[in-house]
Amino acid sequence: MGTAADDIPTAILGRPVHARLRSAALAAWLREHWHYPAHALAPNAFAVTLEEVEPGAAPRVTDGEPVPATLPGIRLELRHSGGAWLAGDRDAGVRLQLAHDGAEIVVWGADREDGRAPFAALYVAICEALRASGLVPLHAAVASPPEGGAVALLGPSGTGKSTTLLRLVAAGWTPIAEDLSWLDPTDSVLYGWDRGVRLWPGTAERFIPGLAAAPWRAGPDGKRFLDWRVLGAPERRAARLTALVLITRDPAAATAWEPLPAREAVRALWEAVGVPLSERGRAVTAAAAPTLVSGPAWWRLRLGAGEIPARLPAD
Amino acid sequence: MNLDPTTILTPRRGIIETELEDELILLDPASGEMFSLNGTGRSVWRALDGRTVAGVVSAIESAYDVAPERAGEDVRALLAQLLEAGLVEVGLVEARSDGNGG
Repeated sequence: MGTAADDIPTAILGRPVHARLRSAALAAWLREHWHYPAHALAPNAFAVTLEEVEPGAAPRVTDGEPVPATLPGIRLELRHSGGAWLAGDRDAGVRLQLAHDGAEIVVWGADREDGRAPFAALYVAICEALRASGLVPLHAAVASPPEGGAVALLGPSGTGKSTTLLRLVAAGWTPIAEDLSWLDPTDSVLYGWDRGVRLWPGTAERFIPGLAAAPWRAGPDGKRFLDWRVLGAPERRAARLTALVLITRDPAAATAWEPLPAREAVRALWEAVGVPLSERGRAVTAAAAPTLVSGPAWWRLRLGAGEIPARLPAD
Repeated sequence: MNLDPTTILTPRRGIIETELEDELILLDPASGEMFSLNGTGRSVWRALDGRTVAGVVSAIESAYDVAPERAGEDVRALLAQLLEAGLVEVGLVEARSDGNGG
């Protein structure tokens, strides 16, 4: 069965994607998670081949060294053997093979409707391919202040990244990402990689009363979703990374900005980017890390009592 | 902890190194354990390429022109700390590549 290739990404951040798909489910998933035509970068030599096969034609899932995929928000174990990573079983799974000039991903079982479709593993595989191609994913809320640049808000889930983002947006900042963006270390530009903001019901209204009447959609996880377009965000949400902020909570104290020591910045950075599976992905991230720690400004935003000042402190 | 001079210590696989201007920061993503190495410590870490403990000591002695006894004590103390923190392991040198061409 051939699937209409309309709106299937032909490149992700300049990395050509050669997709041979069989199911509409996989096409829809690719469109939703990887199709950001506003983020068209110059063509890159690193190509990603994505082939969907019938489960009967799936690569053999052999034994291999178990390796955890430590993408923020995803806990998944893969098996690593002979330069390839495998997840799943003979009914549904993903195989990733990295080469010098590209990545080959084989997926099967993507059209299963029993909750076993291997989209988390496929997400990990595409992320790893992009990492090996020289990009770095950043698990953060990102916004651009009126003076320009991009400020990334880091911290574990539930710390208040999204609500802080919305408060800054209400104060005139432009949203870039709520949860994930991709960084191109060659020019430090961050590309927003989500469609809007997701919050627990009641959260936004508490801080920004005007948003209560916005057209929120109910999400499958109980959170509610607000499209960037409703917030007036531009289609191309990208800017050069100028500052990173680690958000911590301290209800007993007053809300305050503090400089973040380099050591804490290193830990916060690796927690926000996750640990790549491949030696090559790790090398890309490790090469970018020193510049990311010493280049942009690093702050801790201690969320306590009082309003968040809408301007970063002067260096 | 007493380290035998013939012991070979190697960096544990998966330890993340971040080079800053005046320190090398090691992070074990599994445990969250972090370790900061200054100039000499960084040289010790870089010398863990299959040498024995005695070999590392002698590399540091010649690089830093310090008294052998003092260098030996300092290097062995640092190696013991790295071992305790799980950042190095006792064993043979392992190829630090996963065969993906990079």
